[in-house]
Amino acid sequence: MYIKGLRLLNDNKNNEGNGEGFAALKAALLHLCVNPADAYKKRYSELVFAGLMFPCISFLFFALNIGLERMSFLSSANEIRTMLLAFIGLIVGAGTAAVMAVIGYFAGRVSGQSVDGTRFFGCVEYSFAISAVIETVGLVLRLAGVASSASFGVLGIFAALAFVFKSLASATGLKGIMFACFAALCAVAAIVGMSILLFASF
Amino acid sequence: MKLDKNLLVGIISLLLAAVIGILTAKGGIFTILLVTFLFIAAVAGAVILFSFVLPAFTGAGADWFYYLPFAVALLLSRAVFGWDLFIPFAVAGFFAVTLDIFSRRDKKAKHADIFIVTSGALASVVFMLISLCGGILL
Repeated sequence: MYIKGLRLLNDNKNNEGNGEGFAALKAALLHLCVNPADAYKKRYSELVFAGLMFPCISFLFFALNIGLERMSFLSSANEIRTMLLAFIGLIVGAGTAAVMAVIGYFAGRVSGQSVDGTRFFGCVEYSFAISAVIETVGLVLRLAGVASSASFGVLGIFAALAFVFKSLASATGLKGIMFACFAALCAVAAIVGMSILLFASF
Repeated sequence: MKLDKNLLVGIISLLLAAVIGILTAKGGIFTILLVTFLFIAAVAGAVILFSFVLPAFTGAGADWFYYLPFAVALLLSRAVFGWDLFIPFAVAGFFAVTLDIFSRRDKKAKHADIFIVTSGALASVVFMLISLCGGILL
């Protein structure tokens, strides 16, 4: 993956880095994390396997937060079930990002622009970087005894949506009501993903 | 009189979110209206401040279409999934609008990426502090 990342960086003519070593890869990842909408234009947004960790970690920590909260007041909740919920969160994270990428692809078809599915998927994944940070803070607060699943958990995922929307607008060129419709679909996908974890009864 | 569609969408989105929040969330009418009003003031204040301090980084106008999906999501979350949350939707909606404002900066400005993420992080902190001051524990 590292070699592939370097090759992509070297191929990218617009990249300001010199493509030498780990520093260039780190610069690319930083760019993808802080400005995923702009990163769509760069070739290194195709680093989808590296980016997959962000939605997965976000939903994993969200699920872990919910599981720990359940353990504090639900007698039937235990460590095994919490770990199972966290594993489900891992899958839901990847699935939600994929669904958002599919929505983006269809938004591109509607707008008449050909959206590169791989690049857009990469942008969606890196949009969850901020979410991973907020979810980590939420989990730390949970471990400190603060009920944070309904606040930091949900807020973290929604904060990522702000970046997903920027990527959607950048990739598809959609504006106005049509943009809002597809953005709302992305928001619904996130809500469905979170609802699966919130209402999972095991 | 020509209607500004962007402004109209913003007003409708805010009203939709506030009404759903008032009708369903536990925060109470006064708290939700206060939070909504303070969020608008925070966005306006941030834009005015940055336009004086760092004019090269501040874009013109805000796209309220970025808030609309969160208002719709708030409606759906309450009507379909039975959630009882208001603040995360409001914070994320204003965060998206603020991010859009700052992303309209001069693309050639130095350290633009760092500026965007910093302004986004600061916006989150300000919105959270306002929520806490509004009496709602996030």
